[in-house]
Amino acid sequence: MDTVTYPEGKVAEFLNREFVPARVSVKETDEAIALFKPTWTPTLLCVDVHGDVHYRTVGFVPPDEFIPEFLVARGLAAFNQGQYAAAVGHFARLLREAPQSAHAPHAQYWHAVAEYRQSGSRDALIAGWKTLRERYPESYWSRKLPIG
Amino acid sequence: MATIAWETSWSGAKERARREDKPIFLDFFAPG
Repeated sequence: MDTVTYPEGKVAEFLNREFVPARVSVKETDEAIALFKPTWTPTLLCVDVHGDVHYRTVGFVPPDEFIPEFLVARGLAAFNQGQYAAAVGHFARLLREAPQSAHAPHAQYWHAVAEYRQSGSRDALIAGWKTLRERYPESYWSRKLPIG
Repeated sequence: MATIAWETSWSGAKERARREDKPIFLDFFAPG
């Protein structure tokens, strides 16, 4: 992460703009170690001030997938806190800027759910999931859809 | 090139996250 991903200007700007970036060495005694119990490095999380975890992943993240992956995290954090319009915005940004990302199907799934929660429109949910099935038919997230 | 403005403790990250109303990106790393 230190030699490839974090030195990327776009990654640094994204982290500074969308998150409070924090780093804790697993050799230290910071209370974050007891709270989140990392068992391998790097362990990367999106958490809120209450310590609620909205996204967690382990292992190297390549520069071209970093922003897409953590736009999903940002969207999930907003969704979990009831900020549905903001969540739609984060997922939509990923789908607009990186539609070929490995994380795009995940974002398309949640984009539909967040739109549904925001508008109350079941049609929005069905349309969003239909888009998921059409654009990413081989993805795991398409297989999670309850509709045929 | 942008430099990442890292916080280096959970307490510092929480304080800044409250102030800036943002989620925290937390990286647990092995030094060296």
